[in-house]
Amino acid sequence: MFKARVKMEVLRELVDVVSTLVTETKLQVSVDGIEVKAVDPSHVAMLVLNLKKTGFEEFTGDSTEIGIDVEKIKDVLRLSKPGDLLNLAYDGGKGKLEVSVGKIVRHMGVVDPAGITDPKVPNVNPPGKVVLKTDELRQGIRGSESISDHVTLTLDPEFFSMHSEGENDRLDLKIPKSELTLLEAKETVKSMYPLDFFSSMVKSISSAEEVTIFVGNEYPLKLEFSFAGGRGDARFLLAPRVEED
Amino acid sequence: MPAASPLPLAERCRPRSLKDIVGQPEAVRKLRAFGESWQQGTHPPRIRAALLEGVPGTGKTSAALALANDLGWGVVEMNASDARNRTAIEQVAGRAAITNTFTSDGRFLSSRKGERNLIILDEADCLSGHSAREGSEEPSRTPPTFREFLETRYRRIDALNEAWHLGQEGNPDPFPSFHALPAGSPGRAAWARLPQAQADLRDWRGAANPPDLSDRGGLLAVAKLVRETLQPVILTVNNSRPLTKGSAVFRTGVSRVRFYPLREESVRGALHRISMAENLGFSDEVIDLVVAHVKGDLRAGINDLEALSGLPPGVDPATVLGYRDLESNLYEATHRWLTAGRLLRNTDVMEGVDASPEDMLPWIEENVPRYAPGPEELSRAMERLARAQFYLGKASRLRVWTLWSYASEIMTGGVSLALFPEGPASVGRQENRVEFPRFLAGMGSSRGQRAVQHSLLSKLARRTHLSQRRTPDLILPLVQPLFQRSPAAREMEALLRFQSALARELELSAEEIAFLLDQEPDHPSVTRILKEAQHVSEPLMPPPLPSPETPAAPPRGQRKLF
Repeated sequence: MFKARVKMEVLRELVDVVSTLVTETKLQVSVDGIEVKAVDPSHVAMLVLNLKKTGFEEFTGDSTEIGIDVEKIKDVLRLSKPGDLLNLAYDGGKGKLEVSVGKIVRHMGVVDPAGITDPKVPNVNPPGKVVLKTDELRQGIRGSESISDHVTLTLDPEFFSMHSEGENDRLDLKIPKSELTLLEAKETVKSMYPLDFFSSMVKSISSAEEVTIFVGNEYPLKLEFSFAGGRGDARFLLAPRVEED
Repeated sequence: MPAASPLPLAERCRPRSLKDIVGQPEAVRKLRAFGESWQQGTHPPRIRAALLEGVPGTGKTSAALALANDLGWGVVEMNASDARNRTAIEQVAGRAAITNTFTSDGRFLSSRKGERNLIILDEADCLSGHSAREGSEEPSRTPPTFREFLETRYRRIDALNEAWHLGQEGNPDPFPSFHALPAGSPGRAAWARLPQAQADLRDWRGAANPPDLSDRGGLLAVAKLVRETLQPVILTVNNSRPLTKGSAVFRTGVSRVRFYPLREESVRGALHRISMAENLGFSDEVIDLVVAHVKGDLRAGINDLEALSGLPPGVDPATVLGYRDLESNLYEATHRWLTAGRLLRNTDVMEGVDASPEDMLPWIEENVPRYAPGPEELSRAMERLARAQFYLGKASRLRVWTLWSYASEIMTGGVSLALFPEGPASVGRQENRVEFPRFLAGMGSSRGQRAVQHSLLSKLARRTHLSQRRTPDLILPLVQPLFQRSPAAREMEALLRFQSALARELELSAEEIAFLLDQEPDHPSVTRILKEAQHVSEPLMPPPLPSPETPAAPPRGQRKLF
């Protein structure tokens, strides 16, 4: 059983983030809130997302799984505008997910959760950690996108940098430690990541002003940010590129 | 059946290691070598992909998965049921090909440590080679413009101004009306940077570009994948032709591994093992029956075992297996349809029958007269059949297959109601009442003849720059008389030369010449033309027209008109 009332902006950010990886996903409902775990079909990126019950305007739920088609939720979101409240209700089993906004009620066919992969999220603890402004990161990504389809992140005890290289062009973003909220790196670490996932993930962040990035040497990237006014948090893992010698 | 398990038996019984693959020693050896070539150092080998070729149920996918399992590789699979157009392949397989990956059981695989991730593309021969956006575009509704999209979302312009925080410090001025907004993409407008506007833009783009689920451009994407991948790739196909003719990389850049239909002993052994392991308790006779039935397709055999394991006691397994047989099935189904005396829902119609309405129609047409109580009922029934045929035609012309359900409901229940308006007919179930459609029988026996005609027409069409559809009407009536005319003795030689020259020009086969002569291919006149065709060197000239003074003599016994 699941019944909730949520701000359009909160649901939209959640759906935007999830849809960067998958088109169908499983909402894991518990008494404390909801959790989404997703892995993209190429197994390159993973996502764990939690939204506490306080992130909703109203929330009642007990342990249940709802398989949702992300595109359908987006359809409903398109009918609403920021500031609207959406009501979600699901009574379990083969029933429909009822989503209403204003005078519109949509009864949504759910996807059988058994058919959706339930990824086990690896325990990834890269040695370097940096906290920086979402806007600055976004700016760097926007610049890199026109040059290449991958990007190298470097964490140094003194700075954080982002480097991408194309046929003829190079782009560097370098932020010294003094302008970062936090930088923890004992030695220089760097890895190369596919830009498309990284970029769409960062662009789907609409409310967090700061994000936390963990980097290692040829090691997965971990990106953490919060949403819904700190009542929701997301953890995003991205595998590094295969580097040829 | 043992404890209810969510997976089909054939999935549960997949071999976990290459050494458990049944009856394909050569393929297993080659595949193992392919796997080892990827284990040498961190650099990818020269041949980066394997192409597994063979009929269904011989272990291609199983072998690929077993290889990955043996070597501790991760697996990313793309099946025929996934969208596999160019974008999808680039995004899933293409991405996995150049990145390290996570496994679904929560490990991170680093190729630096020799941990690979195998990309499996099942049924790769079903991909189409069309480049993206080529060919017939499905009619789709026009996507909304950005302005239309915002109008539907906000309805009033002040709602939008408020949501985007326009007019507040640092932000651009509010819009006076929706018409102040661009119809399309906003480009570099100052407001486009606002986070709310960005979010709306994203939603709009999502609405304007629905995902493409076709296979368009898939083949090209796979060719690129095979050339550039940094992770091992395995393609499985029933037939390698579509790939090898699509791109040279499938001929030279892959390791080709052949899977042969399994020998009966191999299937028997495997089924016995499964029967034991799963505690199904089948007798040797039943297993032999299945083995004979599946003709070297092990998966079909395992599926049969699963079907049989659910049988109530006392049912003869042979009848259940025979049920797959389309024809014997259609005899019964036709009887059921014609005697229904009520409308049948589409699902009822198709119950236990694996046939499309197009396959069903000849059966009903053939047998309606046998069931009709009188001429009036027969006439009404044929009317309905014609209507069903109309929908079938529409369905295939417009490619709207939902019309099939109309056709199948009209041709079954509809026809039956025309025959028996009073309700279900009490016509006894006499099996021999339903007969095999003569139309299909005729098609079957004339197949060879039609193939010859087809190839002849295509040769003529190419030479005359006409479409093959028009050739039978425009060209064949001109060519055929040249072969069938019985010429006067003095023209004989010229005509033979002409026929031979034509045969050579068009590269006609004996069968095709025989078709033109309306003779058997081994008839002396055919051989003569073929033999002459090897000698003639003169250019193709039409034979001399019969001179008007000496019209050809009419056959003996035929009177002249004037």
